[in-house]
Amino acid sequence: MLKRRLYILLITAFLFAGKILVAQTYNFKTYTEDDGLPQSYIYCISQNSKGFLYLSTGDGFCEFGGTRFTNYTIRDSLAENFINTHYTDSRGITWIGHFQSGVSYRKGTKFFKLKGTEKLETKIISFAEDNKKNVWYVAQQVGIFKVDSAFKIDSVNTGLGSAINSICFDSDDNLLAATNEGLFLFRTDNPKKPVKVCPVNGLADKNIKFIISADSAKTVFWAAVPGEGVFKVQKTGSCYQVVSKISSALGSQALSISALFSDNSQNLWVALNGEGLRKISFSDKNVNGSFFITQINRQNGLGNEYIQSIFQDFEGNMWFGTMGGGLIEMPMNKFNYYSSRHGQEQDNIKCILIDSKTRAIWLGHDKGMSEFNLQNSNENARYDAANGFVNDEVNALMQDSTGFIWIGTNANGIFTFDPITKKFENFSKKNKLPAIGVNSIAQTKNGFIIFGTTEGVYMYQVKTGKTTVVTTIEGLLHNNVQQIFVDKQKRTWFSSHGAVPYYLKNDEFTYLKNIPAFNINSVTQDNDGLIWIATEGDGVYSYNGGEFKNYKVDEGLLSNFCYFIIADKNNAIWVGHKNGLSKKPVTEKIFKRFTKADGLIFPENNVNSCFSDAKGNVWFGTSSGIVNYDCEVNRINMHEPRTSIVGIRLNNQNINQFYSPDQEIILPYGYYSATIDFIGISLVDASKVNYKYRLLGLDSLWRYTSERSKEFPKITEGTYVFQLMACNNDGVWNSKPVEIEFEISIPFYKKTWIQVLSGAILILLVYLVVLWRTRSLVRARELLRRLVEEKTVQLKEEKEIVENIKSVLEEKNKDITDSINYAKRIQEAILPSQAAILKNFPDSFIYYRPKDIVSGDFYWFAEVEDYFFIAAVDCTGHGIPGAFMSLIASTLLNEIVKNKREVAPSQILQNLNNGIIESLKQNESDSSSRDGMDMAICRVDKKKSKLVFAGAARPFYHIRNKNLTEIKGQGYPIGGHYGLMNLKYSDSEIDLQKGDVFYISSDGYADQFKGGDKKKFSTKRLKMLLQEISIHPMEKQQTLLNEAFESWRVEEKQIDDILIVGIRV
Amino acid sequence: MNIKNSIVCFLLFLFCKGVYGQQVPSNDEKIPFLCTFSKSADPDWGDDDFVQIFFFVIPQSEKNPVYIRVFDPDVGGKNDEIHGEFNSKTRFSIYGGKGAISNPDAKKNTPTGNYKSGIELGSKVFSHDTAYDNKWYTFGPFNPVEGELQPEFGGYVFKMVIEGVEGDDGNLYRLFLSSQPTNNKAIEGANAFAYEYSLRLFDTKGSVSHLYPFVGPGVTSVQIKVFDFDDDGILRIVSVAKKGELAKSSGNGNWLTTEHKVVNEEINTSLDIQFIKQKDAKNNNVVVNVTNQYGELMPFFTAPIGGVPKFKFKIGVKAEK
Repeated sequence: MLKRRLYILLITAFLFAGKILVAQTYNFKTYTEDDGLPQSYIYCISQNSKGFLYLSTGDGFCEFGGTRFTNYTIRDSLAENFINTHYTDSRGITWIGHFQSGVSYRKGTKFFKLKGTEKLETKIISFAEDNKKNVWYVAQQVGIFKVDSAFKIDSVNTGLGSAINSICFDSDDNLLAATNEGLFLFRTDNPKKPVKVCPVNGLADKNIKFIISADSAKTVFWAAVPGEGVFKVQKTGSCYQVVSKISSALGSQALSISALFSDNSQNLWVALNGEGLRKISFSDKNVNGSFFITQINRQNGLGNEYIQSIFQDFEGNMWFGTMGGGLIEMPMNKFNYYSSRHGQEQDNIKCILIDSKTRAIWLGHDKGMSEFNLQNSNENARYDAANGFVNDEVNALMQDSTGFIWIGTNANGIFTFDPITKKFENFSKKNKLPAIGVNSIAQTKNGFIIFGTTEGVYMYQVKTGKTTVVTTIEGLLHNNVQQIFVDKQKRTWFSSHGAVPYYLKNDEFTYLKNIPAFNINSVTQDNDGLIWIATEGDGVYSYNGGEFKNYKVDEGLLSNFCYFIIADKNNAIWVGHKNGLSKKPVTEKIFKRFTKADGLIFPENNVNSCFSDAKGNVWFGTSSGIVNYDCEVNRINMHEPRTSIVGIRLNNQNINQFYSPDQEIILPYGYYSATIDFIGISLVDASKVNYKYRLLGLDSLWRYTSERSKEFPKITEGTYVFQLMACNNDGVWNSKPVEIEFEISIPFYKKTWIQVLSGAILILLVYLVVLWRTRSLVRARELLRRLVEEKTVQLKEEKEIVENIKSVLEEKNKDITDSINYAKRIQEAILPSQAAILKNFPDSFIYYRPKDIVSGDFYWFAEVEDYFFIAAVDCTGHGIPGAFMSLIASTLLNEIVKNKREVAPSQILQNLNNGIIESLKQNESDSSSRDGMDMAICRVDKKKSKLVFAGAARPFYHIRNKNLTEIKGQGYPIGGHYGLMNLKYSDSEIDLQKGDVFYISSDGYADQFKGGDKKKFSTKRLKMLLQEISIHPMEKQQTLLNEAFESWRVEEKQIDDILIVGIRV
Repeated sequence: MNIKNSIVCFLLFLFCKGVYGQQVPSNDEKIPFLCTFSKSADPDWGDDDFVQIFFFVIPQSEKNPVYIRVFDPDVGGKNDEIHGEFNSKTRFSIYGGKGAISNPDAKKNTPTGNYKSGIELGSKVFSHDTAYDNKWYTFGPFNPVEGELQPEFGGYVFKMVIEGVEGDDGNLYRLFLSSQPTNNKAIEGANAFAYEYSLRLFDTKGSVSHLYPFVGPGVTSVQIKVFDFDDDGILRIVSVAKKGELAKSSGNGNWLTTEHKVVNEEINTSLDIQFIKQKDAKNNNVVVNVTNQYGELMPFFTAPIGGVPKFKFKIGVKAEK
């Protein structure tokens, strides 16, 4: 009997000891005095419209924007530092109930004492607001008071003898008063003396500590009764009555309820003094139907179980005020965490399996495996050597199509487990397989269970019971197979280190090409059929059947060392690392990281410890427990931050002022430094709030910052609008900017009136100047007129003189001209007749164009014996001097040739030279004459068809068949220049052919300047012209020469006498 | 509070430093239980007014939450004194804030006027409930600043009022001012005191229970008032100057006052009022208070100020064996 009792005791002890409470762990964050709280006792929490949390503490009224606590005390005009409760009404006024000094209120940024409440030496315990915007408050054991919008206080006579603990209003503006002796309903038509309608049925004589509305419609209420539970109260007829009660389900006998809160999802939160929290979730939104209670206490990571106040902020984060434990934040979780929280070996999760039917979670860990039930947060059973299994690491779990669970151990081979009978079977032993380490197990569609082991792949054919071993001999790239994955195309992928990706299909291995071998830990496939490969050191590769794409740290991956890879229901790819997770949503191009800093409280993953359940939710095994990402819950914080501008600090040399956003800011002219302080409140993760801003009037571009202030160092006159937007931790931006406007006045001289006045003065000045100038001009004009008249008279007199002179000059000029004209006739008389020349040379021309009336150039012709002499002479000077020289030269030539019968052209020139020198006495030492001439002379022997040329500083041009031959004369002229007698000139003889053309000339044509230009016609251009026109008849040539000359000079004056003689033989 | 009392309190504060007097009754007092009868009880059963008031002092430097724990708060089951059947209710209420102790009514030996002064911080009515029978119940946590700041007492003062609100049974209980909610962990520098003690004596002959009123400056004599000692034994006063001065003990259901002169050596020390049982007698409950020569109540500290008084033998005087 004793033995039996002992046995039962031992069994009981074992079962009790074997039960581990596996609790969901939350990522609580606690704020204490070390973080800036004035005190760790938080009696009430709320949030204002700007997003600041308001906290009632025992040492001040505290404001929290996510990063910093600002405390307000009696120094800020509060009646007392101890704040018991507070309430922000519909007008934005925050009413502050003190512990023993009445009521203060905050309007805008300032605090005021509510007059008339100073002597209330009891604590204010509850506030409520009616539809008429009256605020009601309860002073403990004193009664109810009402404050109207003019801050007038009335004592409310309820006639209740018992202490009132809490009040609230229903949708009809009836007052519900929770007292020590029940819950009472009052009509408040006459606010000073409400009419008690009825006690609420079912709560008579009960000590009601809290009454809160359960819904926004204010038709259903929760009443908390310490020691009994929470009662749901609903209107029935003209009164309320209890319709349900939550009591024993709260799990405590004492039920010392210290706070009650209904969140935005109508979940009811109950704080049990010393026992943490209970969250009651209802099956429908009207808080009807079944409910589910979640315990939140130290087991879940709650740091303090004495919760005094509960609040949910606009983003859904829960906040708990504790008694001595500070402020606790329960942020919106992106993940669910489960662990025993005891750091046990059972928390080092090596593999996960979720039964698709029962939803039971099977976990492989260091010492066997466990069955875990999410519904009751219990480990249903633990399996190790004590109950038919082994004390070994479980690396792989797989449930086959029949429901059997296949277990891969680290050193004991393969086991099977029947989840119904809870019986294990040593598969390795039964099939005489070695007890090797199993890393992975998979089932194929064609009836194989495949084991990836440290010694190759074991393929068990279920139908035949036959097991085949595949190693590197058969085509494996490495015998240590990390993971086996069967994709939708029935390809079985093997992950091994030092291998390229490869798979087996239809008994054939396919090794992927164009990719190096690396350490592959895991392979998966997303919903689009893309293959994803996780490597150790080389990041992640995606493979679309043709190309690989690599993702590394630069593409957002947390680390290039990847422990597993898995796709979730939304086709996001999850990668596990040593210190966190990487996720690539299907719409994103890069990975997003989750680490401890991002709130991932179990960051250390195990290799290939992940699972995608039937709903597509993913589970990760870590060294601290399991992490679950529920795809069905929208984990993105879609709430825009509450963004506000705190104020603007403007300063220059004279002004150093802070302005709040509600002030009109107009500053005198000057240069200012403007520092704008702002805040965007997103309490999910305040450190990840970012801002973009712009200062219209200075810059219209949005600029980005993570700072909470911005300085504009030097701004001057103008109207400026600072616009600001903020984004939360998930990058959700404000849809509209907040803004603050300020104006720096323009200087007085830029003001319109001063500019108008200045313009008018300027116009006046201009008018005066013009007037003065006009008058001056009139005076000057008169003066000028007189002067002109005087000068006119003077000019007339001078004109008469000039005209007299002119007439004299004209008369003299006429005489001179007449003389010159006469001289011209003389000169023409001595020139040979052109008719004589034409007679002997019918096809010839003489282009003779004196610059003045008489010319220094002349042509000379003589016929002696069989010789015809033709000469072109260019005497120094032109006009009359030239004419004189031409007379001398002509006379001497006639003398030399005709009288003295000198026929050699060179000799003619020599004689002429001597004759000139002698005539002009140039060989005498005191002679000042330098006159002379250039000359070309030809002797033509028609019979012999020969031509002899001699030149003094003039050439001879001979053209035959358009080919021009030039014979340069001697380099010196005749007479003048050197005054040397007997200068030698040479003859050049040419055999003439019929049609030959020759030209002699003065330099007048070649030296002519071009019209509008000072360019000479030049000898070169003349030769080209002659060459060009040589084909024409000589008469035509003369015309062409003249046309060319005229078109060359245009308006330019002829600068010298011109003579060109052309003869065709 | 007059100047004398202020001086007394200041000295109390000085002497309280380093004491751990949160257990009520304390080990030094050797009192089994405090006792409060419900209001329908006969005073002859040992409670003159059915109300007990205790004060707890938390040092001003203390920031951590404090708890006031009650052992066996229900009226019924073990320890408690039954009359007929257990049909009684006892309310335990904690007060802090202004007036908790500074209100003169709080320091009277009779529950009249606003003796529940201050701000109620917690209250619970216990009847016969096995959940609390012979077990600890914890009030709190309390923020130390919720007490009434009395620098002369050395910190924040909390008041506990225990009332027998219904029935005629006697509720026997103990108290503990603790820094932990589920264990009795004393708070350094804290103390507990009362101006009138309602207590249960041990049943056995020869047992001795002690009370330690503090004698402040200016006290020339003390009046010890004892209610309902039932002539079960003797009262003896021991101090640094008195080796054992006998006082009168009261009979059943009546008050008896004994006056004792105070000598200089006794100033700023505690007296040791000893209840020495001289016969076996069950359920002897007594009420005791001590006043000075002006009729002002003197506080009993559970941890005697200056330590448990020991008679100092003078040189040349042979000590008695």
